[in-house]
Amino acid sequence: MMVKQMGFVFNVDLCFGCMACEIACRNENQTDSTVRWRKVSRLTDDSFLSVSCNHCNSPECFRVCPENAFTKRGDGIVQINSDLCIGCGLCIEACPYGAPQYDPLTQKASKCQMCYPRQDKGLPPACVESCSTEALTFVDLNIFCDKKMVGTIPGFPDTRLTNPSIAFYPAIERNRYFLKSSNK
Amino acid sequence: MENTFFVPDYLHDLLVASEKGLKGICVELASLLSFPVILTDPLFNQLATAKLVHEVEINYVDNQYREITGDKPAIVSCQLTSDGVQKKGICSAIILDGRLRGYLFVQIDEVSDETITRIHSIIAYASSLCSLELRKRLELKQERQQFKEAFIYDLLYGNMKQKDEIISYGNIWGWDFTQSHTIIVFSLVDFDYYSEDQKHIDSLFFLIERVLIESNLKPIAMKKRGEVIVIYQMLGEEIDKNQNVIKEFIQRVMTQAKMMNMNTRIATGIGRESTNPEELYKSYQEAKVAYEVGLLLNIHTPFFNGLGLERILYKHDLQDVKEYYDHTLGNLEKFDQDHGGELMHTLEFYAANHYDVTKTADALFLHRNTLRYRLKKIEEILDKKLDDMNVRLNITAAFKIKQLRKI
Repeated sequence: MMVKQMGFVFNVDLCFGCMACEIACRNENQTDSTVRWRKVSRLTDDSFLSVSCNHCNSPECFRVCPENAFTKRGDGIVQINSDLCIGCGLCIEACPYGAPQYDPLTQKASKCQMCYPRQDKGLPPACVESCSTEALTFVDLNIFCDKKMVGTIPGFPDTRLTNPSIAFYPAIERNRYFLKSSNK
Repeated sequence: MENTFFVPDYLHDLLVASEKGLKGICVELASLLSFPVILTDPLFNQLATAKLVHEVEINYVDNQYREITGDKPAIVSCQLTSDGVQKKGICSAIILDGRLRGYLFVQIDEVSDETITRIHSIIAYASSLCSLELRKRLELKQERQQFKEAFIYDLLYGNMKQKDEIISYGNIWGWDFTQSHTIIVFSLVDFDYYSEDQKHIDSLFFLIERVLIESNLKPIAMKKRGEVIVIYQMLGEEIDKNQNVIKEFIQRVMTQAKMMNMNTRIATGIGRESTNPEELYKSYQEAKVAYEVGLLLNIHTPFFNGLGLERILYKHDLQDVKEYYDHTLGNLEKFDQDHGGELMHTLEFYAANHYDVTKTADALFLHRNTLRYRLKKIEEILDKKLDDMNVRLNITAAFKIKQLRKI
């Protein structure tokens, strides 16, 4: 068995905020309407950011859970065992990305599990498959290598403690020749 | 069929002897040639020998090997020292997948060039057999390493919940998980995946393994992106002594890393000791917190045990700690900004010097009375008495928040 670290790669330039990933996630996992395992938000510079659990290298949820309900699989996916969860909410507070969500129906925490049942069948996670512009992809970050990729972008929470398994292609500033500058 | 295919007996004997590994090949070759045979790795560390009377040192090998690119072994001359006497030898490189994996030496005495030429091909054949044997070993090592990594990974993330299971798995590699262990994380600061850093991590990993072996410990270590994690076996029971042992180990690693110009980029963190292998994952997470806090506070060897207040403040809600800081020191900071004063700086030094006026005055090169005047001013601005224990605690915590770069 090889140790992997599956992670999402998000291309800021390609996302236009259609929310297809968020809807596909909800559809695939049949989560409650208040539970958002994946969230699309608008950043200050009018670009979009689609974030779910980042299956961190040092997951805070994993560290703070008093019931030891979290595990990290050999492929890097952080999973929560709902049988062990007591719904204390410590993981929800601890996660800087707001990944674990409180489910009012089960009164427990739940979170993205990177659609591992789909992955086990050789399919990509639902959010990745639904992304029509391929702004969201997923790779094994232990072997994937691209010089244009960066670890974080403005608007993404501090990555220092948790080392999230996500990489970004930052927005490239483009020259828009058809726009006249305002001071002329 | 007109041709008769004839395989000489000695080739067959060598092939059969190869079943006994490198030692078998050496013994068979030595008995065939009646010369001592030495098999070494690329750094001339002996792997197997046969027919040796005295210890042999390899002095010199003809540098033709630098030009070797193919898989075919070439034979060159070399010089050996046996019992202080210089002797002639011939040497064949063991090449595997185009990479040098070792050398096969035959110590010859004064023999004619004709004899040397006659034994060339048998040495080349033995060398090829050795390369096959080394390939087997390498594959086995890689296979073992994969299983090892998967096991260590499961330990680090608490995926194995049965103590007995962990102990019996550990026994496969000779690791005793009935003893207590602690996790030490070595990390390369500002690790850049796309630069030479991956090679640096490889070197650091081998260096750490070597230091552990030198300390008579079976290395339990794995590489992960940007870090090397060591599960360090604690032999003593006293925490103070164990901390000293760990400090010494880290110092040795750093000294060796200095030779490779890596020491300035390596930072460490040490988790708490755990007697229960199921709970090693906690020690790992603690080691990472210790590493991060150690970097921020400039602590050389940060033990999670020794962190105290910082470990609570570090993970606390950012907005909450910001409000706490503003509530405690906000007025003083504002006063300094409006009046261009140094009262914050003074108070920081006063807190750092354990609220001792004499020590702070010395540290700031101030007269005691000037310092007293400033402290009185600070008390007025904050509307608090600085000799109150609770006020001091609040101020110390607020400065720690600042140090942790939360503000």
